[in-house]
Amino acid sequence: MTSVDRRLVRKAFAAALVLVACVVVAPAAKAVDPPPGCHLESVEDSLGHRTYQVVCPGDAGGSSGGSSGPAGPSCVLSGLGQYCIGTSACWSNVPSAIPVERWPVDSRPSVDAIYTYQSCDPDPSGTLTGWSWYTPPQVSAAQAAREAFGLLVTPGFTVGFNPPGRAVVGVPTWLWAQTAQVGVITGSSALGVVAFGEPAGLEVDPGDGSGVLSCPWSTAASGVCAYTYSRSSVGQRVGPGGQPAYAARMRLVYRVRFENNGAPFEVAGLPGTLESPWQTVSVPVAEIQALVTLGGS
Amino acid sequence: MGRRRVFSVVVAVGLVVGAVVGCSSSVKPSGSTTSPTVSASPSADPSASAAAVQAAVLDVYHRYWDATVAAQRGNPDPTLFTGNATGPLVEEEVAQAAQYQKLGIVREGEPGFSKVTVEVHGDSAEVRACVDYSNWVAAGVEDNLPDVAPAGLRLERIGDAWLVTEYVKPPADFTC
Repeated sequence: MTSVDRRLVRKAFAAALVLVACVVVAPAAKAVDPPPGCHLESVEDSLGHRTYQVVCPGDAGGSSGGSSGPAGPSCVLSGLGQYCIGTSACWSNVPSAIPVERWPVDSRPSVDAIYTYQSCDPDPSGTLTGWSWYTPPQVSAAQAAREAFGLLVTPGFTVGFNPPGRAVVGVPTWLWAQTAQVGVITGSSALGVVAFGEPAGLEVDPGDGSGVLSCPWSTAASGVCAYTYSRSSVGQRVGPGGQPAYAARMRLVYRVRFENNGAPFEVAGLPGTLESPWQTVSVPVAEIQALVTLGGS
Repeated sequence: MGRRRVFSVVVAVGLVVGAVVGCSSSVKPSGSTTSPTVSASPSADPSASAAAVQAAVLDVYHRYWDATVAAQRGNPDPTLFTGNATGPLVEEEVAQAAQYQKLGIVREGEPGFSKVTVEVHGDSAEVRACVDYSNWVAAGVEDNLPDVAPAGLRLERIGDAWLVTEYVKPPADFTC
């Protein structure tokens, strides 16, 4: 094989690996059934090597069908075939079956390179099949942090308020988040970067047009987060309770920090906070008029 | 006999193989009881050396089948083939076993062997056999092929070790 051939192989192989990365990297421990409508069949090649293959309706010659691109199949995938390079059906072992201690380290381009094996059929030039080094794309710690940030999931919650059922003009209404998960949330990336979301507070929109106010974190009925309505909800949309009500909203606010293998890790360009989706509750507000009388003798 | 000396050994092996090979393989040949026939040249006393070579070849042959059976039982571990096979064949066996594992295929039991024939040419050998697949099956697989079929494997002597390198098509007159 010439050096040009080797370069072609490497390029083709790298492109193919991108296509099959999910197949190769994904753990194979979980057993899955053949695709719906397909079945397993015993087949024998021209050399008498007998194997099982997935056969699906419409397949020609026991193929499982498949394509490497959105334009349609460029090859017929059968047997071990995982992806197409042109009209060739290929499969690969990443890493190869050769034990690590027997890898030809003299030709290893970098310490991250993995010795791999690819087999393609047909391979008329003989350049697609064989062993080669593959260096996976490097993921930076910053990319890992972004991944970890994306894995932060805010808990579900509902908005609690007191007085229960109906607030009163001039009387502070307590508001809090009712959630089963009240503590720190985390998201972990593959590289050991962890994003921590620490409860920082609540944002509350009472629904009366006064705007959003910030509250301390509150997940239990208390006056930590309170708002005093100045007008009744008469004239507002009728809520689930059958009374006119303000559509009050709340969301959780988390302060986000990162750790890289246990050490604090600063990441430029990522938000320092994470907000949950807004949750809405209908708050009927009544106006109570008190008549003060002076007692006489 | 020097390892590069060319000789040819043709052995029809039946139950004798177990005793000759003395291997611990769980995949045992069965069927023919024909005594080994050895022909070799130009050694003055080829029989002993030829028998030792064919025993070594058969030992590796059966250890390769043991590894294949173990791999297709849900264990795509390349180290199963250490010392019994090499090259693209191992890559294919491992990929095959990994695919079976992914599909949930567990091939139970083991194949049977009869009419085992060994042919040695210097550092290359070929083992042909009638392989009985009827007791090496996976549940839910449609199998319309004959239970018993001829299969051949090539082995090569690499260093001091015989290793299986590839499947080879048995000659047309080798029938089961």
